[in-house]
Formats: sequence, C-alpha cells, structure tokens
Amino acid sequence: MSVENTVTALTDEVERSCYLSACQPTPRAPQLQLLEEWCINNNLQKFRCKLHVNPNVFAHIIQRIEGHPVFSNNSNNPQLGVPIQLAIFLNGVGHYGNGAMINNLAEWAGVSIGTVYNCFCRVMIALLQFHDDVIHFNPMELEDQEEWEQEKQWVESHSCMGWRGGFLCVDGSPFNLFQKPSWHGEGFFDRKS
Amino acid sequence: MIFDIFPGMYCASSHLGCTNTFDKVIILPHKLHIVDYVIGVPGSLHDSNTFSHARIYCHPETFLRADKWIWADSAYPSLPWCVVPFKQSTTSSMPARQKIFNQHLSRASKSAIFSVPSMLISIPQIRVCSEHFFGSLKGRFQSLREMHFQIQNQ
Repeated sequence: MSVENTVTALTDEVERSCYLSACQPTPRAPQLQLLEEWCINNNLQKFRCKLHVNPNVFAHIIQRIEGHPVFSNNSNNPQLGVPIQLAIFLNGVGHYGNGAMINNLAEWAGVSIGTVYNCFCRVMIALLQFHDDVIHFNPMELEDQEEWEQEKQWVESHSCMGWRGGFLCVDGSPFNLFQKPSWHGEGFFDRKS
Repeated sequence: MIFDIFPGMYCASSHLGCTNTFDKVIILPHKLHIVDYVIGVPGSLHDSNTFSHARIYCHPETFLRADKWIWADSAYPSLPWCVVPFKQSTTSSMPARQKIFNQHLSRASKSAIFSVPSMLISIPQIRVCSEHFFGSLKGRFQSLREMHFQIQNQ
C-alpha cells in the first residue's frame, strides 16, 4: 500500500512541475546595457559596430514599429521590449558567418535561442508593413513622376541627351546560404560557388 | 561536418560549401532606390532566366512608357526596353563604335583612352550604380554575405 502511495505522490509531483529532473537556470551575462552607455558617452563608433545604425535612426525605427500588433501578446508574461528586440535583430542582420550565429546573439543579449528567432520574425513582420511605402513604382502618382524627372536629369548630366530615356538599372547578386537546403538543394549551386 | 543542432526537414543534409539564392533588383541609379525585385530564385538559374520572373518583364508597359528603357549587363536579353552592352564576337573584333558604347555604359573610371565623339564627352557611371547598390546593401546588412540562418520552411 505504501509503495502505491509513493508512486501516486511521485506522479502528482511530476504532473505538477512538468519536469522529471531539476532544471538549472543557464548562466547569462547580457551586454545590452553597453549600448545605452555608448549612446550616452557619444561613443557612436562602437554603437554602429554592433547595430550598423546611428542611435537617432534606431530611435526613429522604434517609434515607427512599436505600435504594431505583433509586439503585443495576450499573456501575463509580456514580450521583451521593442528596443531589445530591434537591437537583437539589427545585430543579427549586421553580421555574417560565425558572428551572426544565433547562439552568439542569444549569449550577447542574455536570452534563449528561441527568443532570438522570435525577435527576428516579429521585427521582420513589423518592418514589412512599410514595404509598399518604400518600394513603389506607379506612373500615375505625382511623387513618382517627379522622381523620374530627377532621374532623367541625373542620367543626362552623367551622359548625354540621347540616353535620357534609360533611367532604370537592373542587376542580380547572389546571397550565400551557409547550409545546403535538402529540398531541391542542388538547384542552389551555381558556377560561382 | 558535425551539426550541433539536428537539421530540420528542409535543412541541410550535409555541408557542401556555399549555396546561393539569387536576388535581382531594378533600381533608380540616382538614389539607388529599389522599384522592383525578384528574390529567392535558386542560384543555378541564369540571370536572364531569373529576370523573366520579374514583374517588369511580364508587364513592361506599367513601368516604362514608349522610348524609355532600362540598362542591364550582357547577361540579360536585348529587348526594345532593355539595353545591354554589345557582346564580343568570337570571329571578328568589335567595331570601335561599339567599344565606345560599352565603355560609356559600364566603366567607372575616368581614364578615357579612345577619342570620343563630342556627344559622349563625359564618362557616365550609369550601369556601375547597380554594383554600388549591392555594395551598400551588403555593407550595412552583412548577413546577406552569408546567411547564417536555418531555413525551416519551403
């Protein structure tokens, strides 16, 4: 009988805590406060090294995106602040190779790997709402027509009257991936890699 | 090669070096402003092939009115609205006029060797702008030089 009781007690314990073994908190040493310090001390070079933008640009982006619904959740545990999420995102996209590893970013910000991934997704969603404001080309719109006119003048000043009509350029560039996708992976190789 | 994280369903089964995904943009040369782009095309496709995915290729009339065109490099198809440099023929050398045209279209330096017709005195830097665009884009967002990010979806 006592064995049965012990088993029941153990089951209750596991069901309540959801863990079989005790869980150790990972040590963390976030360095985010350095950004603020650099900002105050006007150490812009270091700030730009990390985030690749100036503090005023950073503040402006926050102002534009912080109202987006993706940054609010229906839970008692609020998300990280928008400035922190944007800092993680900018640090990630501003580096390549091992420097941009998610593990590195997680260590730097003192958050978990999954949080870094979520930050990337959320900031990207928030930024994409401005896609059509930035990339547009509509012959009907007055603003675009003015821009074309400037463009034609620029081309003319850099070449000659006859080349005035060619006011657009096209080119391609490869973005390297660090892993070969297993889904149609071979298709992603070309003569340059 | 050992992965610390087991690759997901659509992720790498082995690390074989760099793979490419292509991006193609159409820009205004003066401010390097993007007006159209194609992204996510596998790198094995040829430039002119990826170009056919662009909106401008399917509907040039929405972008360009008559007697307007875009500049491209020699990998692109020569179309009434798409001007490319002359190609070097294997049998005969390129006529001087064509050489001058190519030079003015593509070059960035100001060392003109040829005597140029009076209408082409200044050396334009038109097509090189698209290279400047990629330089500045990959300089600021350096993760585009090598994406260190697992692709988990299709």
